[in-house]
Amino acid sequence: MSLERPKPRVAVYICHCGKNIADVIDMDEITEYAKHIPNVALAKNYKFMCSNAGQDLIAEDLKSGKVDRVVVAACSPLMHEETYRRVLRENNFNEFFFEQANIREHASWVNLRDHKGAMEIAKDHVKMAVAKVSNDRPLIRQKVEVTQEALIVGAGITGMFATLDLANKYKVHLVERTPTIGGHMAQLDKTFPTMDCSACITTPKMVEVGRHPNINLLTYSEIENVDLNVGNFEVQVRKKSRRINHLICTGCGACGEVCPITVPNEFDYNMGYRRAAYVPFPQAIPAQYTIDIKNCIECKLCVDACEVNAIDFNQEDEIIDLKVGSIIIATGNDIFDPSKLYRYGYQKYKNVLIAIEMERLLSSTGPTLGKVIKPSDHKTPKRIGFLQCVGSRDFHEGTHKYCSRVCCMYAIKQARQFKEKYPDSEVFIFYIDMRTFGKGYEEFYEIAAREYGINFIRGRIGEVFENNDGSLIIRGSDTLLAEKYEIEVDMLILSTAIEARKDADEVSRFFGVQFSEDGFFMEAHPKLKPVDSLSPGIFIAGTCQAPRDIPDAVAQAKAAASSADNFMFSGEVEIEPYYSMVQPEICSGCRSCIPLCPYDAISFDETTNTADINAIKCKGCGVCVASCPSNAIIQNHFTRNQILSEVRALKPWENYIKEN
Amino acid sequence: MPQDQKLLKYSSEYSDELSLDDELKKIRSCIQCGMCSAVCPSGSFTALVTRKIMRKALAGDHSVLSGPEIWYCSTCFNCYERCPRTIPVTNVILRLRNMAVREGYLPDNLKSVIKNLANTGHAVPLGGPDSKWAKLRELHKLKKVPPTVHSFPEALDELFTLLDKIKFNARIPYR
Ligand SMILES: Cc1cc2nc3c(=O)[nH]c(=O)nc-3n(C[C@H](O)[C@H](O)[C@H](O)COP(=O)(O)OP(=O)(O)OC[C@H]3O[C@@H](n4cnc5c(N)ncnc54)[C@H](O)[C@@H]3O)c2cc1C
Ligand code: SF4
Ligand code: SF4
Ligand code: SF4
Ligand code: SF4
Repeated sequence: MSLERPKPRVAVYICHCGKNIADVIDMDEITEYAKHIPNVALAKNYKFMCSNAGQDLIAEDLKSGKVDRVVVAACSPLMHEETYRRVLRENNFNEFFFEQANIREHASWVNLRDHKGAMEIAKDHVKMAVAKVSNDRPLIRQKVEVTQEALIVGAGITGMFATLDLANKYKVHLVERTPTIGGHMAQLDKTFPTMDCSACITTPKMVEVGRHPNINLLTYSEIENVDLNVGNFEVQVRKKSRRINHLICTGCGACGEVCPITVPNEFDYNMGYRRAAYVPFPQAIPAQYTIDIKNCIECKLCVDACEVNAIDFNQEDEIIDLKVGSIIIATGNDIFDPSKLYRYGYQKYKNVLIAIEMERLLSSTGPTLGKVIKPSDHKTPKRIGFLQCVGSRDFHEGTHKYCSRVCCMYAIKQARQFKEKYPDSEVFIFYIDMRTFGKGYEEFYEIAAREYGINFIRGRIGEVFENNDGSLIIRGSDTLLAEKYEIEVDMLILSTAIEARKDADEVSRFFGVQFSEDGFFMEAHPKLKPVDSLSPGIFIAGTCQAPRDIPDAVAQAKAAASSADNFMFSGEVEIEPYYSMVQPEICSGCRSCIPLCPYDAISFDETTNTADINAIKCKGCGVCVASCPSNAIIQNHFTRNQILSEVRALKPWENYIKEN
Repeated sequence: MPQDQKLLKYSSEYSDELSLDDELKKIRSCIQCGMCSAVCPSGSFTALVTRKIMRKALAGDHSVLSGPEIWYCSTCFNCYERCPRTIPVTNVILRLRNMAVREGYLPDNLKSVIKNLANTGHAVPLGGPDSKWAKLRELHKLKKVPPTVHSFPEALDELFTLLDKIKFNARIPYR
């Protein structure tokens, strides 16, 4: 018996991708070319390789015994790698004897007018894929047991819905940073396009979350540390001291009444006040009180006032250890601060507000009990304006290029609410485009114009000036008439952008999730994996991923819950075998790889004096491989030999080396 | 910015008046798509841009009444049929004409038509028993002078009474 490895017999399939590839790259020429690459046993082309018929083509050749490795030259492996691997699996071949050459994105699409160039690139890709597959090794996916509990971070409408959906099957830990759940939605008065009262739909859900036997609600809590063992994430949560024992507190409010300290209430965007012993708003969940340590002067008047002796000034932060199988991140969004756009006068002119402040003024539970007043004189304004796209659709540093999606609709909503309260008022909305894309949204907009008589003026305001009496002069250009105008209003509301949380990079570090260019968390695929992160078992939903409204946030919450369920329900999960391994006999023990690993997967074995990689935590990013000065780290499926074989397949590169 | 520079002042005066009529009220939902102007035959030859008329009426821009454009509409109803928001564009223009006349705006050539009507009872009068119209009538075996105000000048008094009742002379002086 020969000890030599049998020569690989590679099948190459070139996909037309309809006309996407075939219109640019001559199928017969490239097929003929492929047949002459070393190790290639056969080469074919077909209209749609991903179709059933295309897959059957591969299966038949594998069954015939003529080939044992497969290359498909088609679209991106992100799209169909899994499809073709399955064909190998189903025909009892190791699925890692497969390579996909992307000749659509890399060759045909980018060279629509240069067919010759496209052909050259496509040939190189095919050649490289054949070289790589010839050097591939069989790999086996490990299975690990999954803890059947979930963690949800952030208890806005998204986090609450994801939690409720999962809690029917699993134990769910819901961690919320503030003293109450509810998020931004709890601050809204009414919601577009149905105009149902926000509290009426949020509070019952909040109560349900608070009472559900399967939900471990951890409010006023922060993530302290995360160990990213796929399927068995170990999470430390810091439950901050509230100085009040929640097992005893009845939420009677006696402490808040005697508390002498009054501070602006964050929940009302600092327009109302609260005590140092407080609940953010009457319907808060949990309903028990919190003493805000930052502002408390320790007079301890509350201690005497509390009839059930719930106040405990010695209460300490508590660290809670959780082990969960999947995680959903639903940390929501921040709101753009327009004070840097000085021309609009926010925080300079008294009667310039931002929309979320207007939301609190319109709210019947807000600081004015629903009466809209001007900050300058506490009188109701007669003419108000809304300025759209503040901080959105702006390419300046510090603002955002994207459209925030919700501000057109919430401005129309607030304008309608204002008109309902004050029918004799005049309302102007200054917009660039009205974007009313959702179900029932265009109708909502049309009625605002026709029945409410709201004036829509196209064009971005250039400048705002303040009169002595606090009223404002707005200067702009009506872009539909190409005429300049000046309008005097009593109050101006800025429809400010939805932006990523300021501490998003901390959350991203804890959970190993990535950012998109706009600062929001990045989904694994914009179309096909909208709520998956790039880390298995970790999902993202709601406005932490991109600006969106409540219907879309809830849809994502449910999608993420079902994905987390899918991930956990079988009790075990397969790990991609791409992980890296340290060869202890080569490792010099320099430890340089350890701090570089973004997933904290490398530890140091003191007994052998070498680095050691945890295969379950490793995501196969390759950073350590490239960094190791001793070349001691191998990454499965991307070994030095495998990668160099691809490079060597490119002749011009060799020439380049020789020449230089 | 110099004080004399022309600045648009928004007013809902015109749109409020139009909105008294449920159909004309739809003008408020105009999205400025421009379809009405795209199909307006008169707009191909004149300065009539129906989209702009709608916008000016909504903004309360006085020039919509004082300018000549609304009078270029031939009332073909092409725009009326196509507007995606089902705004009765032609009817809006007709109402704007009413409003313009009320404020005393009417192009000179139309003023002479009014004068004809007031003074002869005909927008296009016969022009005397020897005019070319009279001869044409004769050719077709009709009475040279038709049995209208031309034959019964005393009926003009009734027309005057009507015009006085609606104070027409004050708007468009015809006497
Ligand atoms: C002025 C305004 C009006 C709006 N009106 C409407 C409307 O009428 N209709 C509509 O459909 N949409 C409306 N929206 C959009 C709506 O507010 C959002 O779609 C929705 O609130 C998003 O919910 P969320 O749960 O994803 O995020 P959030 O509501 O932001 O909730 C995130 C939660 O996570 C918590 N959190 C954040 N970071 C952490 C952390 N590190 N650890 C623990 N917890 C954390 C936060 O405290 C918060 O409770 C409006 C938005 C604005 C700004
Ligand atoms: S701490 Fe005591 S006084 Fe304060 S709300 Fe709770 S029960 Fe009431
Ligand atoms: S939703 Fe409207 S206001 Fe908001 S950024 Fe987009 S276009 Fe501007
Ligand atoms: S490849 Fe190396 S650096 Fe990357 S995740 Fe794995 S152990 Fe960490
Ligand atoms: S077609 Fe209708 S909606 Fe479009 S500009 Fe004309 S009137 Fe406005």
